Amino acid sequence: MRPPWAAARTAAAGVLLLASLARAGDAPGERAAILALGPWPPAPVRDSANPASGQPAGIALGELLFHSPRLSPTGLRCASCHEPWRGFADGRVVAQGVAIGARNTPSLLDAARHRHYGWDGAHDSLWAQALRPLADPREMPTTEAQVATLMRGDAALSARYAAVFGGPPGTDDARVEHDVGLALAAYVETLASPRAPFDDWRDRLAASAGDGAPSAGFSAAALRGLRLFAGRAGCAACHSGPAFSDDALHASRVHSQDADGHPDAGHPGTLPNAFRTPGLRGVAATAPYMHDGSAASLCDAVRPHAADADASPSELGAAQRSDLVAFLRALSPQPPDDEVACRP
Amino acid sequence: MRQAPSVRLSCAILAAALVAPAAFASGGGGGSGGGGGGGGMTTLPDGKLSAVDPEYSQGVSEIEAGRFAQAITTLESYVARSPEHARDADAQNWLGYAYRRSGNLDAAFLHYDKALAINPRHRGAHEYMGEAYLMTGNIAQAEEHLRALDKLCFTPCTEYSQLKREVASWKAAHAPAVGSR
Repeated sequence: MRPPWAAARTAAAGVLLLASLARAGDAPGERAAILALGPWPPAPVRDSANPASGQPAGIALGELLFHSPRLSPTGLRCASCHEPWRGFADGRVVAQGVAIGARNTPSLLDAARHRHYGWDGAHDSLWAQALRPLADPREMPTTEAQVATLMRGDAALSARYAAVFGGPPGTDDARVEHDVGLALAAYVETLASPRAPFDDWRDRLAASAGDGAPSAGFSAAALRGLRLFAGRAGCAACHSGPAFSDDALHASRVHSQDADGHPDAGHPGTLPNAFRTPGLRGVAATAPYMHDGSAASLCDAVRPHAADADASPSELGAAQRSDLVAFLRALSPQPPDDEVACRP
Repeated sequence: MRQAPSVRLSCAILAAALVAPAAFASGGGGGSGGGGGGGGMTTLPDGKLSAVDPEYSQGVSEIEAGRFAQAITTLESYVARSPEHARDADAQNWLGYAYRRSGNLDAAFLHYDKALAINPRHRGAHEYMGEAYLMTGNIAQAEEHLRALDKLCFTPCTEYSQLKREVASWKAAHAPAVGSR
């Protein structure tokens, strides 16, 4: 039987909790910081330089090629690593094509909004990034000639190509592969994160209809995590904006090696060991985390990982990390049923 | 690859009509021929489930009869009718099956991917995706879907057992001959 003072203690704690939560979004700067994480979804992005972009026929061709086991003679598909049921990531520590890679497979959701692609930001166009795995001997290697032969030799693919690019694939192999990249990019542009419980909560706050209190689907723990995220934990310094990414390269505390033992220091010519800030929408479904997949869970990922001390304050306690994880899980409409209590 | 046992398919259609709520809760079935329970049904404004859609039923019946080209036409029409139909994981899984049996692996993978994107716990789609990967010789990916089924099946399920058998058969067929040089 509970002691008589237990109920009073619980009630008092509840009053304190509600008093604290009721002010969420009202503190100076906090409301603006939270509102800056939306609204979602934004208007679709179209690439005016890509004739397949936004065109149903172009998107359909890209979709078919993305899922096809024939694009590479290895039988590997784009979707073998960017698996739709895993948030367009693969659940592995590092990518595995025909050989083990050095980096974790990033999700493709919301890639249309990037200015830089890949962990190291080595490409500045989605179509060029879409072709990169085809040229990488560790991923799904093929050649321009093999891609062009596939497109010319398959009547259905050739007809689809003609419908998008105004004529059947010609004899210029490089041109045909380039167009395949455009079609793949047109499809990837359509992969957008759905709305999540956070978005409903954030929109109520924006409309002043919400009082900053927890709501269905957005728990008290998630609310505490949001305030940490947008406040003193400093997460929003890099994971900013509606897509939760500033789309910039930042030096990382995580130093890794490739399968041959060579240091992976990012893209030559950029800040050493700098990697692109990944977006966080749907992040609960895309473990493991970091560019080398070294953080197995969200509880591990919310430990400080930016080399810049201003953007990565001191270590948080287990309870605070649990709150951050609760918030990150609220960025998915249906997060996986995993343990969410972080250990010290 | 094995044939879709017609008896099991008939049972799947009947089960869809009789126990749809339970089937939805379990993420759809499969294991014997495709989508399993729950497909072809929609939620009505009063929250009740509709009867099985006639076009969906026709498509599944055509698969049962081995008329895969017709089934593809019927089920493509069904999923194109509304966004809700397009989000019917069972219908997408059946489409994948029909395409695979027609020899169109590009479209088969596409529709299995759609089924799993809609419902990552769809056991039938995991089984069939695994079998499709075996057709392309990708044993590693097939075994990933077997592991996914192992997690999804708290008790023995036909999807896991079937894919496990297929993986074992594939390995036996591709094992180096003993004593060979």
